[in-house]
Amino acid sequence: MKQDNRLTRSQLEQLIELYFDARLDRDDERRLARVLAYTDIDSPAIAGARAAMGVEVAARRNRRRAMAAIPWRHITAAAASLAVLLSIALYTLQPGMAPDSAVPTVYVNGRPVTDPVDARRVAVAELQEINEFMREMTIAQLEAYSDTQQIINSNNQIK
Amino acid sequence: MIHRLITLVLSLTFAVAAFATNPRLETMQFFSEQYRRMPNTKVVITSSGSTHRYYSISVSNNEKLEHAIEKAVQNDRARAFNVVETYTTDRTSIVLNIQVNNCTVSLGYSRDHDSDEEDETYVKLFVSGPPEAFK
Repeated sequence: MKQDNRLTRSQLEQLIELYFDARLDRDDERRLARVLAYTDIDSPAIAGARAAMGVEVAARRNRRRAMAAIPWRHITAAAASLAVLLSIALYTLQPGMAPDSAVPTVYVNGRPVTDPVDARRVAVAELQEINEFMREMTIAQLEAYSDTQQIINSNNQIK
Repeated sequence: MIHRLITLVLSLTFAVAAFATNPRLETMQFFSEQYRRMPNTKVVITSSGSTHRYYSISVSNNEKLEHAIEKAVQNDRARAFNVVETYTTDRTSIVLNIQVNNCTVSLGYSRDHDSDEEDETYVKLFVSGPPEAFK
């Protein structure tokens, strides 16, 4: 599934169809929920999917509408803070990280993994999972920043 | 007498300041021997070159430990200079950036809510940073 929210209406509706057919894995479902929370595209199918995917998505959109009423100066200040925070969050990403030659300490279900090859395999998988988690969080922060930037731009145009 | 009092007050001030700037993260307790030996957990401690250390613990179906981790994350959150949180229907995710021993430490926390299996829970915590942060 594409990572961003620049999907067309028909692409989104195809994904929604897959979601209702239970043919998306959990990661893709999460990504779809995130895209639905932020996209401006609307249709009965999209509205239905938003409703089916839970109140968090709807609440997020409501919060976004409420933000539009905030004076643009406040939003600009918030965006500046976000930009700083964004650079910090990106700093936390460690691309290509892999365990070094030292044998990792690994315990599974209360028992130590004593075989160095097995321990390393678990550690590699763990670091990949952490990397993916940090990547998702950075994307979420980028999306929030992009949303705020759009609000600033629209407020500036109104002025 | 006054000199002694001033010395005492200054010593206490510096001690409190030192404690406040460099306390150990509360979440680090979960990588100790006590938690490594618990069932339904996976603990991994590894390093990447000499620049980074990674501590992680995954817990499934252990409500008491999951709550303890959540509480510790919230306490560490008070020290964070950067917080990123996302909430979706099936997952709560938090990333904190915290200064420890003049190093930036990243703390990640996620809690999965499985909508199909309400009894199933899964919590993951990791802490990463330069080795100096964990001395």
